[in-house]
Amino acid sequence: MLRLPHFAVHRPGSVAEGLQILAAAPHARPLAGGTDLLVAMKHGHHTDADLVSLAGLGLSGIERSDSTLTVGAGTSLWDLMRRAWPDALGVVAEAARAVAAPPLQSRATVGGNVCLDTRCWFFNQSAFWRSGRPACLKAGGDRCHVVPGGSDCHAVSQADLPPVLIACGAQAEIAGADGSRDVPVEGLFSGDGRRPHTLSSAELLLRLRIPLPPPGAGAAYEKLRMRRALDFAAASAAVYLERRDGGCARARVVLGGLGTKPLRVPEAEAALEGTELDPRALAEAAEAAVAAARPVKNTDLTPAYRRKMAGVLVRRAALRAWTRAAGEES
Amino acid sequence: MNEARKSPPKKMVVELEVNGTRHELLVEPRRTLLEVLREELGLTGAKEGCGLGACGTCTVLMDGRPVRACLTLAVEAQGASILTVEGLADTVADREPGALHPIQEAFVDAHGVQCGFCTPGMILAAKALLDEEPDPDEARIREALGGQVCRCTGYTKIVEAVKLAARRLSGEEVKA
Repeated sequence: MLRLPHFAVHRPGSVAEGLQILAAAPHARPLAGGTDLLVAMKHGHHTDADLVSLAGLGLSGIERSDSTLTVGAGTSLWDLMRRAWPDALGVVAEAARAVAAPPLQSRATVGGNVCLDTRCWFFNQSAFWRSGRPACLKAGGDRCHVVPGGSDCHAVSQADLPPVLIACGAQAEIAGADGSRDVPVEGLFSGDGRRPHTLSSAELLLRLRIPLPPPGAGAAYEKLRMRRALDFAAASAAVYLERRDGGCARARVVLGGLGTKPLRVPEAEAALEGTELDPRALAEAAEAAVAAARPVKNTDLTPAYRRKMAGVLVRRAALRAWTRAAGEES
Repeated sequence: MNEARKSPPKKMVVELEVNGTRHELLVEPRRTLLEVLREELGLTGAKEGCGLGACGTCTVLMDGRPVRACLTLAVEAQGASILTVEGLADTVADREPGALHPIQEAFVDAHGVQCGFCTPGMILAAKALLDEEPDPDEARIREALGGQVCRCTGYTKIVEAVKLAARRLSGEEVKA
């Protein structure tokens, strides 16, 4: 059996208590579904961490107001997928459904997926496998095995929900010792593969607020992976569009699996806005996505293929979003 | 090194209902549900394949939903109701002694079992699907079993077994 290292599990009954424990124990890590953290720990990462279970914090559930859908960070992907979503936000369930497989979706949470660690061939390996070479930057060492001589960590952001949440303009509610603050989901990502999130170790992601889209909005998510189940995104694209008088009034284009954080592509958005998504606009958006992608050789499929697919995925997602925006499901 | 690591952290009390029987156990916080099922309770139906959530042979039902027992801490299953393959047949009302669950029978009749290592996980993933959707199409069956890896039969007969189980569970009499 692959054993976990020894650790204590704290079970706070409130957010305030959870924050106190995190502030007092610098090695403590929040435990949500555990479907990624426990794998990393079995691989010999974070072996000095105690865990703070978020199960008792009451963070599960989805609420709808006139303008916003609020999703608790503890909501399971399983529940997220089974919720009836307003048409333009069906893309959130689509992305949740693209995560791993049902027995992982049942435990994995929305907050856990947003806070998913970046991944790399040289990091997501057993301690034995990794012992064959010096520790990499992400594992606390002084070198990158992907880009020899490089001083940056290129571990990839491969989570499925962040591109979709960013495309839908979602805000994240973060709680810390000084109270809570709202930041755009885009602002949660640092771009440093070693420490990919801007949250401090004493903060917790509590909720996500997704604005209810206006009529004529549509969104879609496309994911490239080796198998149709279980695998992380080798590349992905989320596109959100607002359609007005037959034209595209607003576009948001976000790539996943192609850099150290989800990549917003303003040039692709500009290429789509003001058009009727004619072939020329789609080609320009695809080109912009290809130019923005930053794949390196540290996950499935070659960087050249993943880069090329960035354009294909953006085109596919844009066309599906456009059809959905017109009120037809595709 | 963290202070807590100088000596193993204290064991914790966990209450679980497993296959209809309540248990109160004292476990190390690091113990997975799979370790407790196999090593404390002697229920070896759920297997360890990869131990990393990727193969699915440790899949059990927790409050009716399929979970990876190898990635679920026992202390996180506090208060939950667990169903393993050992308890599956007992969920059938008025079962004759020794009789299998219709899903198990369908796996036998449709030749959905070869080496058998993935079978407990396959059967429980199928049960979770059929409890929620009694008449799934093939695409839904393949999605529901998407997290279960089999290295022997090539999935076709497993999918056929789930289809057969669905028909029988809906009351249709289908011969082997």
